[in-house]
Amino acid sequence: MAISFFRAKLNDLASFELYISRVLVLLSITCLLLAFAVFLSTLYVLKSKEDDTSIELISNANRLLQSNLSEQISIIANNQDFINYLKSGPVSRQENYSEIAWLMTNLDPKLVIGIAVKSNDGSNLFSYGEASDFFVNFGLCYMGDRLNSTFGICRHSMTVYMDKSEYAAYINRINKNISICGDRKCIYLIPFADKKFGSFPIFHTSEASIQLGYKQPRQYEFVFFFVFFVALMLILLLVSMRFVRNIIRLYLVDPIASMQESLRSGKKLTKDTRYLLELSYLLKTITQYQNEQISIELGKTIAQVAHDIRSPLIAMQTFVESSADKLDEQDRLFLRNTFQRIDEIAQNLVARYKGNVIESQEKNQLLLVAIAIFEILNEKRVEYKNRQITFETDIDGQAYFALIQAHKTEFRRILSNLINNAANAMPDGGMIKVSLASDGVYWNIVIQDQGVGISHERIQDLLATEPSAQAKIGLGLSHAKAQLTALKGRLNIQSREGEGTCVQIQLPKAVSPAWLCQSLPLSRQGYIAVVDDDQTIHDTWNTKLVTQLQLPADRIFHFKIPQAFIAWRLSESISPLTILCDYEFMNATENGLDVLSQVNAAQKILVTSHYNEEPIIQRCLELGVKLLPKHLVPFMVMSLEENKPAPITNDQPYDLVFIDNEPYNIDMWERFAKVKKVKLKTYASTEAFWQEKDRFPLATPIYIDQDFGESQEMGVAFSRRLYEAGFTELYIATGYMLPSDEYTWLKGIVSKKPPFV
Amino acid sequence: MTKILLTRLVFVILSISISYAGNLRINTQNYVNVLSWWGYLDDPRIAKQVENQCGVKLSVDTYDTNEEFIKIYEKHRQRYDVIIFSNLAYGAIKNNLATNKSKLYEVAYNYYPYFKNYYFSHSYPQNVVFFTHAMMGFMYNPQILEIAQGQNIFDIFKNAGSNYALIVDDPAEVRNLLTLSYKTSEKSWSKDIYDNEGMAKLSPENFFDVIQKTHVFITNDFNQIYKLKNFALSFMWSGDALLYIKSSHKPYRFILDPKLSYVCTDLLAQIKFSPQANCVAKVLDSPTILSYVENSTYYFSPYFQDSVPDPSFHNLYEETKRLLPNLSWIEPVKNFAKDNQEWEAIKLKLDEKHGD
Repeated sequence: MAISFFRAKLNDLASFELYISRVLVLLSITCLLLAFAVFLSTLYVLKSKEDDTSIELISNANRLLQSNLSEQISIIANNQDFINYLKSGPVSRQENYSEIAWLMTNLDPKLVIGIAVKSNDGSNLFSYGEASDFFVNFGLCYMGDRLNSTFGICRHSMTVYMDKSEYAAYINRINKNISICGDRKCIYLIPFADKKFGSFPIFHTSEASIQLGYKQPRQYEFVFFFVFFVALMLILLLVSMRFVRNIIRLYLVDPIASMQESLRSGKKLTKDTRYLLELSYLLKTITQYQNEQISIELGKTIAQVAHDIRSPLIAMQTFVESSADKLDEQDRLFLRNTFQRIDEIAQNLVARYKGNVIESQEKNQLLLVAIAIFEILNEKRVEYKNRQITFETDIDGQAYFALIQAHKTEFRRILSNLINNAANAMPDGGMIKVSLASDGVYWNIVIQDQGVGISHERIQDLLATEPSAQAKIGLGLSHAKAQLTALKGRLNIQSREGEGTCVQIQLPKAVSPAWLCQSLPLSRQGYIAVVDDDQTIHDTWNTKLVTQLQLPADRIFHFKIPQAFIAWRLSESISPLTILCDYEFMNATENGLDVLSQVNAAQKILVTSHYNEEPIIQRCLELGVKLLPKHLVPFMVMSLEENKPAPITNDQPYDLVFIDNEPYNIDMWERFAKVKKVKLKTYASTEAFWQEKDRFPLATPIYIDQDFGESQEMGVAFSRRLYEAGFTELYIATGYMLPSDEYTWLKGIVSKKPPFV
Repeated sequence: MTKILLTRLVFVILSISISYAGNLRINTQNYVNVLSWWGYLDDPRIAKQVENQCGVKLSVDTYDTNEEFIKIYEKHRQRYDVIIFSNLAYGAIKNNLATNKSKLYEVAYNYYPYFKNYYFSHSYPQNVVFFTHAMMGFMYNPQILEIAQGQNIFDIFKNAGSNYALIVDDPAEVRNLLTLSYKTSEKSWSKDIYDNEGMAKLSPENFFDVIQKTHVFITNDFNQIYKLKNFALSFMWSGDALLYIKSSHKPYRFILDPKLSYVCTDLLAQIKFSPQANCVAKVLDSPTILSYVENSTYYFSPYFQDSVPDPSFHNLYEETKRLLPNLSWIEPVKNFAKDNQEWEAIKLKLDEKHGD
């Protein structure tokens, strides 16, 4: 029955409603049955405890009576006349008898009908009233002249004779429900069953018992309360059932039915104010899906196009590579970058369509912002050459080597999209200016157009965390916002309607790596060898070295074929020599790093556009070669210096350097170094080492103290300077607890204990 | 109210009538009324001897303390023929004591020589004689402390720690205890401790100074405290101590030492001069009756005989005999009321302390 009750098919809202109703009815019936069961069991327990309660209540009343009576007797027994009487001989007792008898009249004469006092030898000292077969005999124990049942000596005893019926009447006065047993159930009370009569120790008692009955109060109140409770519960249950059904119908069944009806009839979904949050979200998602159905279909087509376009793209790339020797290097680079960009975009579109997140497959890497800007603008110039749009760059002198940590493709896409947006804002043509400058801890990239501009309200909406539906934010801006948030960057838009828009990107600065050549100090007496298969590069270097630095032309040697350079260098031992070598040589099996690894020179610089390829960077670090991005050659700072002290030669290298202002530490390191035969060079200040830093290979381990005293540069800051100067094995030797995660250029934070001990 | 009183009165009269008709009614003419320390005359042979020799029955009222004795004596003096009381209380009643017509003193000729000399050298009235002698000393529980000969009383209480101690309920005895304590201690030089007569002041300061941390009960009774595990000591009379040790089989010991002990004397006075009273007084102070008293109380009679067949009594007898010349005697108290007042103050403070 119960099973079939729940077996109704739960397949639509109507059956759901019916099911809920049935559950509620069943719950109500269960509650009522449970309440009735509790009522019956409580009634049974109360009934079974009735006898125990009666006995307990009669015993309590009996104890109270004895306590009252013994208290009255204690007052008499503590009376000095009574105590003297106990110690008296027969003559004195006879004289004082009336006084003691008078004392005894303080006891209820109806209850206490006689009293006798005897000494332990059996002498009868006092007798009063009459004896009865209902009595209690107890000890009179004194310590000094005070009753004391605990420590006292009991030389006398007292017998109290009582009237049995009056005893029962007395109990009745204490508790009106107790009375002599009549027709109701009797309880036999043995009144002196305890060993104590109040505080007196009982010696002997009569064996009489009293038959008493206890009138139990009827349970009408309980029954009435139960009936009232059940009725109240029933009403509450009915009201609750109605309430629950209404809630379910109003907030669940009706909205779902309405949504289903709208979807079935193809009507637009409308939101009701009573919709729950979850239903509202569902409604919003469905509506959004309906609105974006066209975009989804379009996306599918784009993905298909992206997929299909890759084959002809590869064919074109192969063709261009095979004809590379017919192009000059700049064109070759441009084409290679363009192919690479198209391939990356196509790959990304396909991956997005398939639901893969391509970004996660590539890590953030060090990017030179200026180069990214140059490359994107090169593309854009070609893309928009027919739209009367010109491009201009404004890069601050120090910003050519601006470095950020970012995903290369995504960052270039940000720039590309934002420039596209700027171009789209200028249907009649105009100028787009991209500028790059430093702003403290950020690099600022500003893309400025001369377009139609955006209203202030729309800018607010575009930059909002959750733009409104009316914002119609473009995919480019949406992508830029998401990516910049991930890179801990910022996006800002300023615009004047009719004048143009200025989009500002702020990205945190990255630490400059040791392998990057940002400046080129040259010795006035030194020599320079330029190895590159591109004549324009030779011309560029000539312009910088001869025209700008006014180096004598006979100190600059130019080579286009790597083997020729190697042969020259092996036969020529001029010094100091700085080599500026290309990476990629047409029609040559060796690359620039292979060349540099075969020759000696004071400075080896690899000049290449492959600046962000990890294997090349690793090899540069291994060979002690610095890397200079080819795009930045014109912007690199060069300086002429007198001959520097020769670097320490390989036959006298120091194993490590220790910089600390505490003489004790210096002494300790030197002592241990001597014992362990370690070649240690120590300095007492950071500045002393800085003066001589060029004497040490960049891979020399350097241990630096953290605290050099008040107003002095901290060890961590100094290590950063050294890192930027090219040193790679940097340690802070300190007793302080420093967060090593924050100082990424450090190899470690260690104690003052020398590492060779 | 009046009705209740009347009802009670009628009830009493009826009760008295009923009781008098029973065995409580006696002829007082056939009785000699004696007031004595509790327990002295309990031996039934004493009453029988008196009845045989004097033709009268004994009616003995008892008391437990000197204070109680003085109160009863002052209130019911006319009621008694013979009284037995402490030498301490003698000072308080001797001015009200009739002194002529008695040759009771003649019994003293047969006393033990040391007691006889003391009796005759201290000018007691002719109707006052020695009854018993007890030596005051410490009964102690060797499971808690040891008391050595010559030990200072301060050290004894210090060794008792916070265990239980009992002290007799008698201001004079306690004053004597305090005096002995100070005079045998290094504090004996302090004048603030003593009164004009060279006795220690019966002050709470002195009392609590001597007992220190010991939990003291004041009582003359034998009570349940003696049975407790942490009972340490009791300053008491020799007879009581020996009897308790004997009856309880406890391993307690009693120490007699001139530094700690002194002689306490009970006197017998004939205060009515009827032939029956005269006879009873003489019988009660006879060697036979006093040997009964010795056997029931373990106190020494002035005849000082080793009359109790008990080794502990024998040992004490021998010890007392040896030390008797060196022991001091407690003197009658001149101003018993003042002593009692001071003593009550101490007891009140002690109650407060126990209440804490």
